[in-house]
Amino acid sequence: MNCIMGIDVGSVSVKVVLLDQKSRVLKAFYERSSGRPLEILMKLFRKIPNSYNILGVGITGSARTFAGKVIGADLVKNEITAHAAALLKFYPRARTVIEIGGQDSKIIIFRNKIPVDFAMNTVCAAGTGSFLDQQAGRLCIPIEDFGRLALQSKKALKVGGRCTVFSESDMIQKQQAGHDIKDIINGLCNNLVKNYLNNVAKGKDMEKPFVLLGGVAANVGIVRAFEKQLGSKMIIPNHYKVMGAIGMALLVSHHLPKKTRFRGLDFRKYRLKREAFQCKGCINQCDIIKIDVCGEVSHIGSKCGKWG
Amino acid sequence: MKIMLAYNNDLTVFLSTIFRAIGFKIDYLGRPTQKTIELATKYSPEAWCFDTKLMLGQAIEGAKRGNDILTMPGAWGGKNENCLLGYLCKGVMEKRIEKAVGRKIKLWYFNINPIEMIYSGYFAAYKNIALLRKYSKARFFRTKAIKAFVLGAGKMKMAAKLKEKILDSADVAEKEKLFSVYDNFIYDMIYNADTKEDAKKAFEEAAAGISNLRKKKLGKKLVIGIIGDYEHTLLSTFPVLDIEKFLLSQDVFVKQPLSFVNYFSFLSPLYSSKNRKGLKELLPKSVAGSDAVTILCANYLKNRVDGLIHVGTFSCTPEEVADEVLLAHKEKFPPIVSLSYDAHTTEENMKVRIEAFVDMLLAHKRRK
Repeated sequence: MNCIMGIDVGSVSVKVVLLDQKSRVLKAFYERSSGRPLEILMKLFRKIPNSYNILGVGITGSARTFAGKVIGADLVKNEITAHAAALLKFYPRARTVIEIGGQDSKIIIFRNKIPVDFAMNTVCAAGTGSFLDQQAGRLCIPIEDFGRLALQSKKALKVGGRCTVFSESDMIQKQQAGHDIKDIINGLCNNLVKNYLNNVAKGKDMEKPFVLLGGVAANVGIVRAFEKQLGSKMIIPNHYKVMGAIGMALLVSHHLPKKTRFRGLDFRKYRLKREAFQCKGCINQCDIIKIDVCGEVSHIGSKCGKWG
Repeated sequence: MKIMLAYNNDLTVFLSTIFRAIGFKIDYLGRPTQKTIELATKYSPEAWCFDTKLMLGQAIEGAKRGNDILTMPGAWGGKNENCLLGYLCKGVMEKRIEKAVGRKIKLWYFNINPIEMIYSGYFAAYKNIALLRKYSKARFFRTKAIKAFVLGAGKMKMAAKLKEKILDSADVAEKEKLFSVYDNFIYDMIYNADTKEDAKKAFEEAAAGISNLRKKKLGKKLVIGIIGDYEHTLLSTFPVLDIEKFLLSQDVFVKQPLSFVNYFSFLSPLYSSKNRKGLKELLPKSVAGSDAVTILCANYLKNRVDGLIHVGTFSCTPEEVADEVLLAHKEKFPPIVSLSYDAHTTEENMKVRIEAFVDMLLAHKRRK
């Protein structure tokens, strides 16, 4: 079967989606990367039946440059553009899109089916999925239960959400003072949303309908906090976790290459060699990664462009 | 005497001409590097804006290289000479540099505030140059300085013109050659071009070099303007990511109206009554002046570009003021994205924003 592949290699998870030529989702895979994104991507590739004929591949996410070079992606794009493409296809009426990923959070404002404004978190990472993950780990609570526990809380405690370090010490202090863990989690969800609205969404014309994307959308505590603070219902799409990957597949399908550069689903055939070194060309001493895939050599990491 | 020369776009060309004419040996530092950032963050208080930190970092680098005179060419702002927040008050920087290098230093400020720039930029520049007299052994200092001043201004205009030509070359196929032409030209201007004829020859050669580069056909022509903290945004001076280079690599044409030629001259289109018309309520009672200049730039570019990138160093008060003003009146301007950076900003983070902005503007164009 002919299909188009979209990949999102993020900081916390790896997503792979296969669309047919009518842009219907055939397969969608989501797996936590656990710090080994390439290995997890290989694992997901193994789940794809060989009967699928891949016509083109698009990749996004924080590891897109590296992973894109390794697998031979036809299109490499940033996460904002990828999410915008998916939203326009599946939720063309959306006016405000909130996307909270592993290491960054974004807002995209749509008017008349075109993105007119966007923002990303800048110097603060307190409102991202990684932080929630970290706190869940510290409290020995599975991240999947985080939202459910927040909903059971009767009152939300004030937990600093401005900075991860202060948030954590605030939470520890509240635990030591004997507060219920559910109230602390509820407080964290509320303050995380407040931080997002005060920083990422600062000055943006947020209008209904609101769409929430990213792994954090699975957290019902966060969803409730958004609904409470925005005074409106949040739309959570069916494929909220993999919208970036869907967007990439859609973008590739708009400009389908005559022949895909994709090297195939079998990683063993890639003959991948990696080498890290420090460029001594100038005082910047950039850390360069040399990638050799099937004899095709490329470099990532130079500031001046010396290494391509 | 050896004088430090930090990279400051076309101003580098202007200052080097004068320094050499009044008998100084130039030590050209080039662009800020990771080393500059390390020194900057190590020796400055956390509260300082990144801009000031970088200036300190460069001065320490200059001192460590054994220069007799250090230069601080970005110290405009506010009333009289110093940054209103006091970072650049006489004595503050000196003490920090001396602590870093363990010896007494001589620091020369190139201080011109925006009001002086608008009404008598070149005169104010000369006032600063005259302060170097106490260090110079050159005979006929004033004559030599004035002569070099005229030559330097001419060379600076050529550098600005060449940069404009480069920024308008998104359709050149081999972009790397484009940048090396500019680098060589600047080097030539600093060390070799001693006469107007030499400078003109270097300029013509560089311009021809750019014109002769192979061009490619582009789809939609996208033009983006850059406004804001200019001394660290011009061709490769930006230590986190060279925005102009990156935009050109994305096949985007760039407009950057704030060369020092424009900054110096009251004849600049930025300060014209036409450009100031209707902006009275938008121009803030300046904190340090560059906020007003940023808004004037945005106004000048608004009908010439598809979008604007506002660059500001983290916690730079004037740029934050400008950002708020532009945000409050965004319907008057094309789409704007604000990029604030500091020593911890990653290249990747900046690239995502710029790429997304480019994609968004292309979507607008397609829609039109």
